[in-house]
Amino acid sequence: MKAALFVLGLIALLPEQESRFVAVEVYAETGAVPLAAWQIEIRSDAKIVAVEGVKEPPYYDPAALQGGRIILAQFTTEPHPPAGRVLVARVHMMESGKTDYAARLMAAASPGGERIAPRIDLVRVGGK
Amino acid sequence: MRLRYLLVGLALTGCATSMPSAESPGPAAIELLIVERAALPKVQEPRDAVFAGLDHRKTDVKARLTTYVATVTVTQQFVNPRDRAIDAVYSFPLPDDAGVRDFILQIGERRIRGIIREREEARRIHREARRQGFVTTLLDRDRSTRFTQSIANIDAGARIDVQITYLHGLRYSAGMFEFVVPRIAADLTLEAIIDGEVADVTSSHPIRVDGSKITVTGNRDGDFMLRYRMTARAVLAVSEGFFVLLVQPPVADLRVDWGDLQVAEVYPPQIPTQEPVILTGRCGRGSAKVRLTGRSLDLTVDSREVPGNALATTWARAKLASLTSREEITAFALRHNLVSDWTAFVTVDAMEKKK
Repeated sequence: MKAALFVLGLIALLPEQESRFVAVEVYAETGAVPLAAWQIEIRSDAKIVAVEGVKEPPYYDPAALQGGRIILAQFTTEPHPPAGRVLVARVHMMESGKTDYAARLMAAASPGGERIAPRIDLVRVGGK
Repeated sequence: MRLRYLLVGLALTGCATSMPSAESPGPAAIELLIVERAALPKVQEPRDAVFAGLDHRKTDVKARLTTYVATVTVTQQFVNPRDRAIDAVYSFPLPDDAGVRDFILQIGERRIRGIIREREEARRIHREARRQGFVTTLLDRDRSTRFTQSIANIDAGARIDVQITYLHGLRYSAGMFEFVVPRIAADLTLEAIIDGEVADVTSSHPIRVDGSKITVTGNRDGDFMLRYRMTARAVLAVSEGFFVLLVQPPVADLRVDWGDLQVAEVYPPQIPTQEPVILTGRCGRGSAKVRLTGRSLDLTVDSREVPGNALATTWARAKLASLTSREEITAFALRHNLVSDWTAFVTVDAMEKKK
């Protein structure tokens, strides 16, 4: 019993693991096709604390947040949106401990409305 | 056009409350643009010890009036004039029924959207980010109509823009709707686009009318007020599965036959007797007709599609006001992106630490 209390006491004395604030950049690889609209799901144990876009920040689904998912979406009416490796969003996160990220494309389209399937990459960049 | 269909599809898959629609001016909408110096929030006494004064450069106000709903976007621009990083805390009042639904922090050219969180969690995140030296903001409210904005770790000489979007119902008096922007400072420029559905448009400041466009310029003080009368006896506005029905003046024994509209969760549950009669709820999509009957009234009203998500937020705000338990209010406000007594917007810029 005394040993158990001693261990608990030691655990209580350990410093709380500090949260880290990091940014995760979301890229869509579209090849030669311009990207006009997209919707992407990100799964992670980290907490999202802000979302940033290239010009305007994307919208997020607040209902999905309550289920531990991040669903981002955006569209542009620009006549010539970017193609190739496109930075679509930067998600600001608060991490505690080791954190993994996974992304899934939900929908994407070209300016003409054709559905496209760009590859989605996540790059962790923050945490200065 | 095909892109537009895809966007509708995107909205249906989970972003209905946050996705913008491909906008086109609605028939019952007034577009109002106020730029340059406008309402100036008063800087309050510091809540935190490290508060120091910011230079307030300007406040822009943009508003869109749909039926009786005002969607207002206020952008305040500040500069830290000191030679060290500082924090700022200020508070400002909003109308009683205001629902804050969006928050954007702009640092230079970067625009960062805040996230709705349970209030205590938002405060913890803000405190921790502030302690670690990140630029962070917190928007919450202490009392029902008073909001508090906290901005931490603003670098020396840095410019920061804070943009808040909120909705509220217009005041109604003697058959006229009133939209008020408090404490206009000076050099107000206002552009309003008004369709043919309103009449008797007046303003507290001189206005120049150019077709459906109204412009106000010049140096002015005091509150700005726009007043107008809706000419229609009743308006049924629908958007993305939500509706607002407005009837004026009220009639005795008013009944509503919803026809094919498939309404649900209508607020208030009983038809009000005071004017104007305003009902909001969920509904099916597509055009519809409703029939209004009452003493000396038998009227069929066609639905009108209005742009944006003002009606969704109007309904969410009405439902939120009907909830009583903390758990219910918190869960609902989080799901619908609304600041409440138990939810707040937090923003952390993980790319910028104070130098």
